[in-house]
Amino acid sequence: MAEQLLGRIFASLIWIMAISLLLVKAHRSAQASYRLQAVGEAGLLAVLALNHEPWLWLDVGVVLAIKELVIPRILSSHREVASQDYGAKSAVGMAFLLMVAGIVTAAGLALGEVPGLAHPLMSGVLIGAWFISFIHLSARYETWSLSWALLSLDTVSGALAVSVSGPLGEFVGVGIELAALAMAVLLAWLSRKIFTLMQTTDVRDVEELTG
Amino acid sequence: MSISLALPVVILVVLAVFILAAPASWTIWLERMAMGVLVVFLALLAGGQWRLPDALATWFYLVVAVISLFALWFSEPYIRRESDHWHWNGVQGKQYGSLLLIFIASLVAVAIWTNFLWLWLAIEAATLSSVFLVGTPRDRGAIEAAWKYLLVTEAGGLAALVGTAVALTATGDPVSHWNYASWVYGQHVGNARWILIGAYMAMIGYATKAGLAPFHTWLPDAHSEAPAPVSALLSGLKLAGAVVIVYHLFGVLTPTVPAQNLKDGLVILGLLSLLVAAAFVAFQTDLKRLWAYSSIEHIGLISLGMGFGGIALVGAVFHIWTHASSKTLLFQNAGTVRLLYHTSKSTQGAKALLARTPWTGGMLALGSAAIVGLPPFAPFWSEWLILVGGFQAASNRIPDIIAVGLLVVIFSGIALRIPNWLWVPGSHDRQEKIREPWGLMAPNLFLALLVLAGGIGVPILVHPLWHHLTRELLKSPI
Repeated sequence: MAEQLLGRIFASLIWIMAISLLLVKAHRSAQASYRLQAVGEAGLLAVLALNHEPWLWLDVGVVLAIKELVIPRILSSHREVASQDYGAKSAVGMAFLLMVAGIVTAAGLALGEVPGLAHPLMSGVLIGAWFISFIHLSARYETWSLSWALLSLDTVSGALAVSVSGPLGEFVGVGIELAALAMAVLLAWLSRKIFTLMQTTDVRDVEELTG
Repeated sequence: MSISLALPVVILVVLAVFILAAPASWTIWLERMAMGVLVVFLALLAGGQWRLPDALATWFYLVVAVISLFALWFSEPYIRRESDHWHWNGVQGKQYGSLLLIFIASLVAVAIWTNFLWLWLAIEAATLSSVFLVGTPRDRGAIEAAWKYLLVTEAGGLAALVGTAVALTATGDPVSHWNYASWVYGQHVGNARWILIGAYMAMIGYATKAGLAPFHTWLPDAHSEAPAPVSALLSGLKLAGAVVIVYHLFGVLTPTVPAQNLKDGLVILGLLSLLVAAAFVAFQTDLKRLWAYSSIEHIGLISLGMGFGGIALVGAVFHIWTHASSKTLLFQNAGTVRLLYHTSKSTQGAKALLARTPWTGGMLALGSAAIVGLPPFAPFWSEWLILVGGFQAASNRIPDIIAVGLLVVIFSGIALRIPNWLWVPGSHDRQEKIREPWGLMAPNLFLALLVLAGGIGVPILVHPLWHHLTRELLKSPI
């Protein structure tokens, strides 16, 4: 019972941080939100590890090391992005985005109630967070924000895949999580390359992206 | 996974690592060794010494190996000239060579691996390596295209991962069975709702990788900015690879979910792709962008054929080959145009190609006739099978008629546009002939022969495989 409750709390932390990443105005705030989201993911993995999947402890350690230390550092190593970017440029207002986040969360919770999932509420919250990360990818204009959206989607997808495929065995979970982590590092590195090559941080200034 | 399935991929990746570690002058030789590896495995396959999981894997490997050989052959003279133009240093050349081999290795993996999680990893490796390749020219357009490609297809990739995990978990089978080669059809009693939800999530995810509409937005930019051999591999192989994974996934899920529910999704995506291609193809002024929109059309046709099933499925699988060979010819010639004219835009001087560069112009004319589906070229036969197959089932006739209508619009669009490059004269000071290097011409001439005769020739050439493949596809639950 306590484990189930903890699972829901950590899933909710992932969800709240997905919303936070959607709304924050500064690269540094996004960095903090991403770190907290990683804590949520590590917590969720720890709950699953306690629940009869001890190999997932390996993932807990790797997630904390990579997502707390390595990825934020890679993304912040470019001076311009790390210090100068500030703003929340979006096609619509932030309040509207928050309302959309609420609606898709409700959709996620409803989907979680479809019979067949081992943890309906936890999975529903994670599906809601997943939808929010997708919205983030099309709602914000800053390239740094889009990079965090992709990384948030990677975190939520990893957590969701591990939690739904849990009953199939821990090695699947370990494999999926490690693959998602490797991808997160690559995405961070690619994003940094983009930051160093592109003069603009607003995708509206980029002809190819709007054309 | 058996060692024999991992071996070609591992060898190609090792060669890619060697390229990075060795002096720049070795790059060409290591790329030639990679060509040798592809040929050796083709020979082993022909001799029955190397067995692949099923006829579709064998067929797809054949296509991947042959098209990759042409891309590597063309890449050598092409990149030499392009690197001179962009003033690359030795490291950039090595990075390009290494990434190209990783890209080809991941395409080989997509063709021959059978576990769905490994297949996901393979298509991800193909995506990430090609993101770097698209950005290779390092100018503004290429970097932007690479960024857009990364954003859209990685969102799709993560949807594919979650969808695959959800759908296969819902079948209730152990993970050792997440493998289409060892799947026992009709043995599964899973949760049909979640299988369907997962299957659709995976389909949407892989559809972004395949560039199927409405998830195609990255494709025109990425294809037009990438170096020509990379555009050819992306269009001919990577797009089709993503659709083949969806076909395998749907194949293992059909016992618990009605096949029609899954196939409808493929038909809808196929029709939307034809619609997008029909709407945009007539307005393109960049040759590579024109072929990019044509790629959306053809991946839509493959999706449509897989959705129709039966003879149309045979046509779709055949179309993977006919489209890949024709599109490689077109993209590589478009690359030659870009090198010789310093642009591939008809509005900026790439005009009167037949008069100024007759070989390149001639091959573009041949490729254009092929890609719009004119007989006797290779794509005609596969498109014919897809469309005739669509008419066989009453439920497919309306989408099939819509597809025929859209194909006529696309045909007209390309027929209207292509003269702007081929024979409409340029300004008076741009009438002189341009010398065409034979290094660039030779691989394309051989490809042109394949496009001319490959429609009937290839099934005859590999008759036992084709016979086996057709029988397997006609028995397929999809």
